[in-house]
Amino acid sequence: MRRQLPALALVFFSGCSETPSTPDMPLDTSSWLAEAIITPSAFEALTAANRDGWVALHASDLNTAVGAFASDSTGQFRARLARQTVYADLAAITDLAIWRTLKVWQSRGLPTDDGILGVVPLWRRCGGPQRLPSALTDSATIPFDGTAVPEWANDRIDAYGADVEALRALVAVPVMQNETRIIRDPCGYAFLLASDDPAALIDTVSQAEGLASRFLSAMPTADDLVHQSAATALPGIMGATSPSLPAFEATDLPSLHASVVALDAVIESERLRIVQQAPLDGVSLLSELSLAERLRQEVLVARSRTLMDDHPALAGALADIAWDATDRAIGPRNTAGAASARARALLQQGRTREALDALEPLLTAMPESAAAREWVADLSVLEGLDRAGDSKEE
Amino acid sequence: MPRLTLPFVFGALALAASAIASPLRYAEDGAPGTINPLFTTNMTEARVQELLFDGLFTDSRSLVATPELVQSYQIAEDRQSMTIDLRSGVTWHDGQALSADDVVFTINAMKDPTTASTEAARVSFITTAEATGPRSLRLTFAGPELSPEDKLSFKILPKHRFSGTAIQRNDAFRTNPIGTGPFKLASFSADGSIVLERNVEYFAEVDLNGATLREVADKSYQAKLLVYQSLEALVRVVPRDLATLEADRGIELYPYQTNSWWYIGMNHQGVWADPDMRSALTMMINVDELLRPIGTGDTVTGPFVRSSPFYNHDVRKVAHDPDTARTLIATKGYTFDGTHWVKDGQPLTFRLLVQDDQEVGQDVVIAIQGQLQRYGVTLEPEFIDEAAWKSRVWQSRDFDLVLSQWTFDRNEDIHEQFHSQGSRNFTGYASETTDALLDQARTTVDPQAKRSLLQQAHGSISADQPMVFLWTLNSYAAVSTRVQNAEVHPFYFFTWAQDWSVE
Repeated sequence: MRRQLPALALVFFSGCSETPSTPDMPLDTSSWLAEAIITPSAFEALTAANRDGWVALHASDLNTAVGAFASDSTGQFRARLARQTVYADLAAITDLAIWRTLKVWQSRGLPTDDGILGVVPLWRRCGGPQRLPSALTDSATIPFDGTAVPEWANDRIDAYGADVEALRALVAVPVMQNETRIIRDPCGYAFLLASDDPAALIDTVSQAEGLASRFLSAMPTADDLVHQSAATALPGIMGATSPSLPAFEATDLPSLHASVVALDAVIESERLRIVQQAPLDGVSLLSELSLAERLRQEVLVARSRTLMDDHPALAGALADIAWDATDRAIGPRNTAGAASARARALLQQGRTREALDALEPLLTAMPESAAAREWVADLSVLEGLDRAGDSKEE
Repeated sequence: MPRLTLPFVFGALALAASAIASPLRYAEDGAPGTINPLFTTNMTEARVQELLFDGLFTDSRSLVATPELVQSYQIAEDRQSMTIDLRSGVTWHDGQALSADDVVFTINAMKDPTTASTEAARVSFITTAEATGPRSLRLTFAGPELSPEDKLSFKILPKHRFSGTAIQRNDAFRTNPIGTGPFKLASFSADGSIVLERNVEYFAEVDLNGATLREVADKSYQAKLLVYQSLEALVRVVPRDLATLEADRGIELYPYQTNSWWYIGMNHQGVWADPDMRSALTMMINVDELLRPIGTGDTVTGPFVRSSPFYNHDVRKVAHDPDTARTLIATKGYTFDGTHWVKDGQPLTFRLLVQDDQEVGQDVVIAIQGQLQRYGVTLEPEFIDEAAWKSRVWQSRDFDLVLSQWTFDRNEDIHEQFHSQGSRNFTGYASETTDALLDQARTTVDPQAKRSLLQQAHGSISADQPMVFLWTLNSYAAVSTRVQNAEVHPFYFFTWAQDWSVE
């Protein structure tokens, strides 16, 4: 059963009219987990004004969340940050898939057509080749470069300057389609990213007060938020090195696992502390909304992104650990960002078919991810043209 | 007290280290009946073979073909042949040296029609294989091969353990195999356990101190054994156990083998040659109802999983429609006597075969039986062991229906299952349209054309309904966190197991 915020939140509020009787230790509400569960008034204040927005953000329904939050609310900026993070992953996935596709296409001497030849000049419009991580590419040469922007791309180029929501709807639509070739948008995510300044969003959120700035984030405490906002302008890695959490250093799989064990110990300790101090309904809320698990996933995924370019295998291992196997759909237990990070790590490891599988759940939650998905699907087929397939009964 | 000498100290430390290193214990639903790469039909066999045998090439961590038994190679300019020099110093588990003759023998055995290898299609692109020296050989191809190393991962067999290339399925090798792999067989017990020990002569470092396969048919029991540290790995977790294992911080779940789907196969030699009868069966089975008790999964309309680049999302699911099914059956001369459909005095009855180690499969069979019973069709399930399965399904095709699941590597090549000449097409399905689409898909070099052709094949196969396509389940392997450096190959699982270690 999908956990939903509103109904349970109502149960929570109805059961929270009394504050817990004398706690064993002074209430420490420094983490958003503790603040939301132990202090009913904080959570009530958070959800009272923008309940639909928080419900959507909790379910990682990011487009709905962006639409549901009031335009000047902290929740709105949080939702946009979360969506920008996914777009950044999708842009990276698209860039790498395009580069590999062109490279294999050229090395195989496959026939070119207007569609293939038009990709690079269009891709250059959003600086695609410049974004390729050097650790993952063995050549600065971009295959099929040097041709002019094709006429069939003109309409899309016009759309790049249009309204964000219009562009979002357009990204999944092929730029060009004829009987033999379908070309997906190589730039859509990059322009969607450019439509919102992540640094400004981070700045705004970090200056906000209260639970709204951190609830459901990878940064448990206000100090973490301040620290992280000063440390990075990349929303996807905020929370990777929060001071309140065990230090993160992963140079190989054993050290990575050790870091996960240390993180789990801290989160479990915090969860137990909250359970001891919170009212019964609060404990129920903690469990039903999987809030401790959400904190864990947010932290692990942020940490995964820090390893993405230089250690994609470790990034993939961390993203796999973060992923909740019990529910494949995007929702409270598996965020859109967790899915996009997994897909990106897999693609960067060369595991194209698995990256395609990791992108699948995102299609329902964010239909605009279809362009990235199709680039990866084509690449998956292209890379397998020479292989002898194997199949067995299970 | 005498002082310990340094050699003694180091020796003691080494002993302590070897005492700490433990073998990996993993569970399979059933023990492999045969360990001979010529006759591999299921993943249990494929996984254990991955530990015992090597190929000329194998997958790197980034899934690129990389030399394994090959030292060096050169592809001819016309790409119609290649020369290979084998790695020196490689020995079989019985101590004999690996030679080019072994490679030539393996290819010829796979191609030998008397052997009838289930893997024959994997070497069909090779026309000749000849040894040009003790460790060098030359392969010629049927056509230009851009990247033949991608096709040379089949396992190499020891020529000296066979009398010729015509090999019987029941050859003694199947329970006493030797390979060149990182592990060698220590015991193959009647209770279904297989013990492999570290091959100390292996040409590369082997960290894992052996592996033990345990046959545990009960999936819930498998999960318990892992939780209580009596196992280190489960190769496949059923959805109902995922929550328990996910919550255990001593266990990690690895997404694995997602290109796998369940089906009810129909034998086209009998009543199922009639497309109306196939449609009737499909419409009588309520797939969603069958799936519900199993857990999370996606129903499929054809021979690909939903995330496949070849899945045709325009193909609609056949509706559960018992009324139309009844009408179709009636047009075939059957009459309904109030309880059963009867023709020529005989009730409409089918034998459905399922492997007896398929715990989930057995539950599904019972549910199918109940559904068909509702509509007057009698189903007689037969739970058979793996040897009987290979004999009755793969060889003599002695069945009406089978319940099973196909698992594909990342290429998702369905040619062998659905082409009329396919080596895995034991249902006997034949369609000129599908054959043409599959043939074209194999030869095209345009990825989008290939996608289009296989999406059309999905449509064509779905329209013919050679089987009832059921579902794909969320597939995870579960590995204890006591296992270090565990990386799971998405299909063969143990490809990099020599780098694992158990605390």
